[in-house]
Amino acid sequence: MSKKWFLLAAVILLAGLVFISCAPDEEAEVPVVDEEPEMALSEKHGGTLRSAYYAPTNLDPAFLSTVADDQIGRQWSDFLVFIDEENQPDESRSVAASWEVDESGTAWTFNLRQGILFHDGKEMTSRDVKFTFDRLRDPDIGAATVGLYSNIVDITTPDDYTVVFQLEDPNPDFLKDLGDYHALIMDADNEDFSTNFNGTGPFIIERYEPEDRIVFTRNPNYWMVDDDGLPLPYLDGMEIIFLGESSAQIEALRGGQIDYLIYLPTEFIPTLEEDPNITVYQTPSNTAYVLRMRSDRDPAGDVLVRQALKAGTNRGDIIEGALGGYGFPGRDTPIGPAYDQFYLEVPEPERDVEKAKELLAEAGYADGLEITIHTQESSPVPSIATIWKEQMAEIGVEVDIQLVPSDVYYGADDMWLEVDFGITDWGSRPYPQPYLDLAYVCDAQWNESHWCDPELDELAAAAAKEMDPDERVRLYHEIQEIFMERGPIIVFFVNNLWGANENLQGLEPTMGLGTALDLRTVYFAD
Amino acid sequence: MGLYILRRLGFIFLTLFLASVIIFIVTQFLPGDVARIILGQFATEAAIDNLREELGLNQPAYRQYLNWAGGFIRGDWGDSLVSRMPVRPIVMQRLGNSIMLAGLALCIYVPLGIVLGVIAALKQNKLPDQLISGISMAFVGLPEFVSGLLLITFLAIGAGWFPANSSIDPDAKFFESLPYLILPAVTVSLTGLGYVARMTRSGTIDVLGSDYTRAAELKGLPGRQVLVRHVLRNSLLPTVTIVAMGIGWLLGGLIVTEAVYGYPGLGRLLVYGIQRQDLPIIQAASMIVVAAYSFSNLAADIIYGLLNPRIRVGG
Repeated sequence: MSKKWFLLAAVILLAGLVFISCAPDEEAEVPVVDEEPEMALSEKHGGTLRSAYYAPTNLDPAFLSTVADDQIGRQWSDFLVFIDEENQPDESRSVAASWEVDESGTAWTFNLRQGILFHDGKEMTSRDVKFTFDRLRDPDIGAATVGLYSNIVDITTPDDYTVVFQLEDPNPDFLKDLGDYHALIMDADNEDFSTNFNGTGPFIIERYEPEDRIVFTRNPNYWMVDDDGLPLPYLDGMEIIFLGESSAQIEALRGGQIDYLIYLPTEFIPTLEEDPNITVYQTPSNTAYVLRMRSDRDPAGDVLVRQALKAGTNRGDIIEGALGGYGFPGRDTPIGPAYDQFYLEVPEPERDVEKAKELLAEAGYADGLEITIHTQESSPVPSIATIWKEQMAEIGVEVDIQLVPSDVYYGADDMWLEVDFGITDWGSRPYPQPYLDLAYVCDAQWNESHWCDPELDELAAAAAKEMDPDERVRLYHEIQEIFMERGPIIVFFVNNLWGANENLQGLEPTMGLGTALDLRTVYFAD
Repeated sequence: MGLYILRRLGFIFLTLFLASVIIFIVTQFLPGDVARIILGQFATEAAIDNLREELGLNQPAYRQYLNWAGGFIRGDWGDSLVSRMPVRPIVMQRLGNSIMLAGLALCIYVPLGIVLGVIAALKQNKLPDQLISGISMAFVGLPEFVSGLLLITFLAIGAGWFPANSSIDPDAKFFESLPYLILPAVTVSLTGLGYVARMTRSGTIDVLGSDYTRAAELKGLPGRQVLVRHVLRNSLLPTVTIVAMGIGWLLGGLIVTEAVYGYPGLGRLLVYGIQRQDLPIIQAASMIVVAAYSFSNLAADIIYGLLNPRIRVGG
């Protein structure tokens, strides 16, 4: 064969290869669910939202645990009670159209919307709702919600569209408990929740590649409509790429490969704010870095030491220096301004070096004190520790900082529950009670500071069941006074932060735990 | 020669076996528990126990290893503990991506490194040599997360020539992926280039000073022919080793580059597996990497022998 022919053959072969590799993938065109052609679509309709986040660890609603898991779950299913951006129940976005509670505060009746369809076309009924919550409270299944729902005695379904929850004790926060992020309504006929995602939600999982990405398409039969009566969601689909590195996420957003990022670390905000194509959204939240002092042994077992360290701390400087100002200096209580009237509004405690030294001397540490603080390496915790160390040096307390990886700090040996001083991050809950029950009453499961104050226990138990809102406010205020006077924590609240392409509209920042936004009404401006 | 290759293959399988044992032992000592990772911090102990039983994690360690190894040899690489999906397609897909990136990077830095190395050798200790050596060494020393972010900042976000993120669709074909491959390949090439250029330079300088080169020059061959026929063939021998070593590194060791660009290669899969303690993924991915190192080394030795009959081994 001459050289010329050989060359020609090579060119043809190459062209063929290019053609094959570029040929459209015909299988991708098949729609997942039949369209309903008679429905008109909004002008806002269209576009695929691209985002990036850590890979999820579990998609079974009963075992969601990370922000990534939560963000995915709420796309493909719905809540019986949807908790809105201000942590209040919103029936317009809930599967329950309305609800009522009897006078005792123990019998809650929910009226379901009719005609809500699962992705496979089956209608959702009270049977599915009962199934969902029975599964979540079943000790044999062992979901994280078993404790949360232990107050439920029975769930009954008088008809297809009515569900009644019978509680043992009155629970003023019950609606918010039903909106917990695990409580996605499940199909009662589903047999494998880790691979079958048959929900009622606005998006359908089209493709899930556990280490790489998840792809959603729009649910054409979704039940919610917008203010003009046109069907939601607006977006045609969604894609979340699993990228574990914050800097890669940020560069992808700046480079326009993705449109939207949740849970932004504060150190990237200045760069994003300079970018004309990016909008940064933020809202105060009760997400907190809690500097806690172990109070059942020396040195912080002495209330004078706790008071001295608190007096020597400049909270505002730490918010500025470590959180870039994107936060709020707490009042040394777990209840922050995100809780509105439950929050006891007092001025930021002023730093008083002299008073701190006096308190230390009174506690017997006139010649100074050496302490060790253990905490996780992940930003911004080391900065908080470093600034605090400098502040403590000025009151004669020498702080040794021990940084460990997060999975060691929270690891099998429960370092975070053991060490004398530590900085722990706590997510934002829809109401204050869980913090008290989980971390501050004497026998709390995660009583990391080992603080035990009978007066606090009494008040916390009363607040948990108090159905009268005003009385509840009073109880929470009293609790905060105790924390300020003798509590074991110094608290730094950090804002929830998002970044999005400026043409993405309709994003409403939320105080919610996972910070995943409601994407049903989000759309691309042309 | 055949016997030699057979013996080397035997050693490779021994290496793979030892590596699999070592990796298994190391993973036993990683802090944390895969069942806890899957079910989350707040699941009950009973649920964790059930899952451990289901995943076979309550069996003694040696049984777990034998189960895995038995399956692996038969081609059943097991299911991911976290996602319960078969490991083999995932690893193979990532290997394909890594090969694409490695191939492109090799196409960039090997020819360029050889050319620069030869130029530096010919202009030894003059300005071009000093420039080439100085700059290429600077790139070798520059960490990939720095060079990568610089490239992204200037070429992707500043100039807008390339995508800032390389999270290609797993099903994307090579030509669709090409624009996404360029920046990561350049980042990797900045590191690889320096090694190749330096190796070529020193090899060429050695050969240029040798008797047979002087003889070729003295018998009146034109300079270009001396370079191509006598110098390059011999001076590139050490370069072959460096390139072969590079293949193993390119396939499994680009953890930082893949992370900076979000490129779905084997390196990131390995990190993902380790973070979640997903043993079948860790084992399969590291077996591939170890195999890549071993076989590219073997290939280097064989090519070396072909190029240089003096060290050819065996009959």
